[in-house]
Amino acid sequence: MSVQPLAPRLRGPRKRARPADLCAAEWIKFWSLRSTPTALVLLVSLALYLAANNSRHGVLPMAGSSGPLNPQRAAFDGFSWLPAMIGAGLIGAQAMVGEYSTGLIRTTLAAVPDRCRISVAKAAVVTAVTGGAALVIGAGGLALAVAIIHAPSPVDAHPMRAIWSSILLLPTCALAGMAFGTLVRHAAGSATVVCALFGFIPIMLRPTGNRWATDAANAMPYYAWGRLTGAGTGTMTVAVAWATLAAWAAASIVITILALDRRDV
Amino acid sequence: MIEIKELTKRFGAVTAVDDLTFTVQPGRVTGFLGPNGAGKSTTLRMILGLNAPTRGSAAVDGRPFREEGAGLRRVGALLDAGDVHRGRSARAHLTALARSNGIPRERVAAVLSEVGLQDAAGRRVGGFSLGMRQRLGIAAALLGDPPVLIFDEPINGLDPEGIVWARTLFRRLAAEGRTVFVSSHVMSEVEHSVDHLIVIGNGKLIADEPLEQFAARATRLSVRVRTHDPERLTAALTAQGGRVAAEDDRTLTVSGLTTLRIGEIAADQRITVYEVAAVSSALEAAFMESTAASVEFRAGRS
Repeated sequence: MSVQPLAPRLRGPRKRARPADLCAAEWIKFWSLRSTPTALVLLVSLALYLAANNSRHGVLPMAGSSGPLNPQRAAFDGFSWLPAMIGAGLIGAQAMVGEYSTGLIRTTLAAVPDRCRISVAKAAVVTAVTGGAALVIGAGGLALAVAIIHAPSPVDAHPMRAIWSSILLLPTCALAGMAFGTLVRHAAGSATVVCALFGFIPIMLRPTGNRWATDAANAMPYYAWGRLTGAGTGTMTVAVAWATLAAWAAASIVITILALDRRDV
Repeated sequence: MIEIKELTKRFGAVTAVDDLTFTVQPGRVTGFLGPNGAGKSTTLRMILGLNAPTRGSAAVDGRPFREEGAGLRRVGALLDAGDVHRGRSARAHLTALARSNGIPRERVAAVLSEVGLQDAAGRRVGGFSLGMRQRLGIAAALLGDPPVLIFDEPINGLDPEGIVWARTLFRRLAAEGRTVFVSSHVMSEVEHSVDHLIVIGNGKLIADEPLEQFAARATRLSVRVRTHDPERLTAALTAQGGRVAAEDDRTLTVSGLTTLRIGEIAADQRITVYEVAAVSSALEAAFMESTAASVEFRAGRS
């Protein structure tokens, strides 16, 4: 093979990559895999199907508050969102586990030694992707439900709040998944934690038992979100419900940053 | 320039790197040698800030690497060819890396053709051979046009043509004034391409010297001798201070005597020999001896 000089030479070394460049890099990584975009499409399709199905056949009575079925209840039925929550959590976990399990994390961190910036860029991309998915599922599901159910009162109060809270819910699940992925660093392990947290616990724990169980349930993103959509059974105030979701998201980002920063890779 | 000072890394009770101090100078290729498990990769990871040292420090051009904002522009590193996501194409892998350091997209095509992967750029890395992945790793190291380059066992899996190419590349990078640090556990891989050697064994520094000086350490070159009369030759060689082991009924392995001396002894005794050949090079022998000592030292201590 002929050996030519390295061309073109780069001009003077830049001090730092811009945050936008880091986010763009993570964005390229996210979409250049087949598995994650496929999972995302499946997750959105399933959620929209469930919203339509709820509108035709009604929701499980145990999932939400009683009362006549309306489009908002059908579109934001708690149990129907569980697969989306778990899926978002798995996508978030995979964003980190995929790096650890392949060894790519070493290449990534050798390229960007400031680990905090990598965590933040990953969190931003995961938030944008799952937030976008939540918008499609929430607004699309509600539109489907309105089209299918010709109810005189199309929605409960605050349909926009239901959509906004969903746009906060799925990124929260994804960020929590990312935090678990960073802590566990193992695909099966973090998937188990995500499924337990977003699938098993909301089904087992309800804010209708004793004081302890009620508080514990209300602290889960699922019930905080249910309170905000009006279709769930959370019993806290609206402000506390928003704060609960935000606290989960913030704590997840902090855990991800600290866990990645402190450990050898 | 890479400066290592009193660098130590313990994993529980195991000391992987033990009080290493050395400097890797720009403008030449420096080989980093040691047997498997000597602590080479751990040292390289500490230089890159991937592992935190238990004690001591590693600096690249005077600064800890963890403080760099655009790592690829300071150090290009190939640690393990497997450190890529197998589901991504070579081009996507490099494009993401380039973007994370604000490196223009055209540079990706340039390094891909530099390493000869331009026709495989769109294929997923999972379908690459080890040699192709090594080339991809080298391409990633070249992305940022960095002044310092670190390659951990880069020759593994390369075909003969690829080995020559890699050696030429390392030489050229050093000639451009860059710091080039290449690790290996096989002396023959680096002996034709390095100017300076850093040898470690059991986490400790054994040698930090020019190639020729290290080669002069060899005291026990082994020589293979094939003869029709191994018994008489063994007696004659032993009488002259050689250590002789029988390889099979016609072949002896001799150490402590040069090929020249063995030929003279055989001629004196009128013993026919069919072959007198040095088994290992002086460098290989020096490497084996110096690292064997570090293993013996550990066994004696525990």
